[in-house]
Amino acid sequence: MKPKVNVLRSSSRAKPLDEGQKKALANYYSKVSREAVKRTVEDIEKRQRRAATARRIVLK
Amino acid sequence: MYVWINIEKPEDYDALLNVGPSSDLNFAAVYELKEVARKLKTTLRPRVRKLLIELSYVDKDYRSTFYHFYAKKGRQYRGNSVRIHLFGATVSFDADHLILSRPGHDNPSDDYFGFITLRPTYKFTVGRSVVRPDAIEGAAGLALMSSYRVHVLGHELLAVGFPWMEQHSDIAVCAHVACWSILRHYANQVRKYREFLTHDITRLAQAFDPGGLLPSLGLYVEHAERIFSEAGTYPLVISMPKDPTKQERKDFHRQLFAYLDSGFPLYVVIKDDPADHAVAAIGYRSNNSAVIPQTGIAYAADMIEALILSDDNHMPYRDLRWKTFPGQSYRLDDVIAFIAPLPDKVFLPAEHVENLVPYILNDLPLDELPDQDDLVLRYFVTTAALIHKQMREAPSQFDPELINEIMQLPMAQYVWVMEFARKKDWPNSHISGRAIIDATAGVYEEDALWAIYDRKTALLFDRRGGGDPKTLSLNTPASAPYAKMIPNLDPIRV
Repeated sequence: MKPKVNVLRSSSRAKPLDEGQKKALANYYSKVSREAVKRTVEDIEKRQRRAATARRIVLK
Repeated sequence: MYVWINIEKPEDYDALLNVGPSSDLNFAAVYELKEVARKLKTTLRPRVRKLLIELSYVDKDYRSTFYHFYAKKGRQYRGNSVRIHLFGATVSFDADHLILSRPGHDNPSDDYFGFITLRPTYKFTVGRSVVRPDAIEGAAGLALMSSYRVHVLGHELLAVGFPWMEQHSDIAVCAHVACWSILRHYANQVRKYREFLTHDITRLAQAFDPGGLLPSLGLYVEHAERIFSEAGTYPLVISMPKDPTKQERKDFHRQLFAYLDSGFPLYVVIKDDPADHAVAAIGYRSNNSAVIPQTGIAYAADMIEALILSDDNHMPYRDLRWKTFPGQSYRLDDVIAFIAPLPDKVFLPAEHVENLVPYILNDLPLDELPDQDDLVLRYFVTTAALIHKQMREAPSQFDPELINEIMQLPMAQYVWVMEFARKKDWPNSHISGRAIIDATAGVYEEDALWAIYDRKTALLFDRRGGGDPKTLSLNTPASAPYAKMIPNLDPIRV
């Protein structure tokens, strides 16, 4: 029977990740997550060090 | 009211001194024509061969300052500006019938290099201008440009370039002008931003009306931040730390390049004595023959040899290089802060994007991405629409299934794109893989990827629906390498 609605085609070749890929991805997520916490603390310190620049006047 | 000047040699620009009506003895002094002729003859390329001078032109930006400032002064200031149109050799002017024509061609616009307005302010008279970069001696590289409709004598011409003017020095200084030029570009390029005239910019800097004196005393960086915010953008201020280490300098320049390469014009603060200077960075030039370090990750940002500026102290498209050169007293290392006027939907900062690199290279199962000692890295913000457009326009680079997947992948409007190139491929603008990262993600979101692919494998992530990631084995044609994207900057014709 002819469908009433055309559904967007999804790739037939895309597959779920295999076990090795899943493990690699979980490892990636875990490292990125740890990095984000570390960097955020560093970023706050950097921002404080940079604050003085905002007080510089420009007019030349 | 209209004067046509043929330019055969630089001295022909001196004819500008005599364009005023014979009864108007002050004309040349009011518009500072001697100084204007000197600037044009020393900065315009020989391909500019004809000038059409409109002796009486109502310029909206000058008028905004005239109504609120110059009309209040004891000295009498005129209300009208002069406008100079720049043409190439193929355009002619019929002075009897006031017709511009380009024999053998349809449109004078194709040989039109834009316009310069002159304010009747005696000093610093060059006002709102849009000049095509290939008209300027020495301009080269990639620059932000857009097309401005120009109406003269019933003709509609297109001026292509980035807005520029000299500072007034009283009602607006360099910082106002840098904000004005960026916001005028946005207003012309992006429908959601409205146009702000010169005096509007002056008033936006403070919560109160700063009157006539305060603007001449300059702006703090936070005032410029306020201007961009009031104008509807979401400014991000990035500053160099005091006494920076070598690594901190590199990090700063890489962030600056990432936002500029994304197509955002930047408000740039340059250290100077006794007062700092502000300009708009509107493009860059890379050194394609630069020696790429053999070890460690090489960054596209580190291969920049010059920023291209819209600087009120010089004609537009002046370089800012690592070393000073005749005509430029600043260096790239003198940049101490910049403001990126971002859209509202960019939440992930450039520095966090760079932090992902080691984990992408080490942990994701993509064998064809280069190792760190063979990697040139570039990252920038673009839109999902531009990614789709690039795939549609160059389909031979991609496995058709990858195009199909990316077209259907739900993405936010803005994405960070990270491009991975082998060092040998970089000079040819070829890359080995690309990551597409959600620019609306927060820094604590470890799963910010929409997609990443090399020549053999793609990983696709359903961030919107929360479905499981998918993988696609690619049959990428070996004969068509991935080309690096050029987001929003256009090459300057030399």
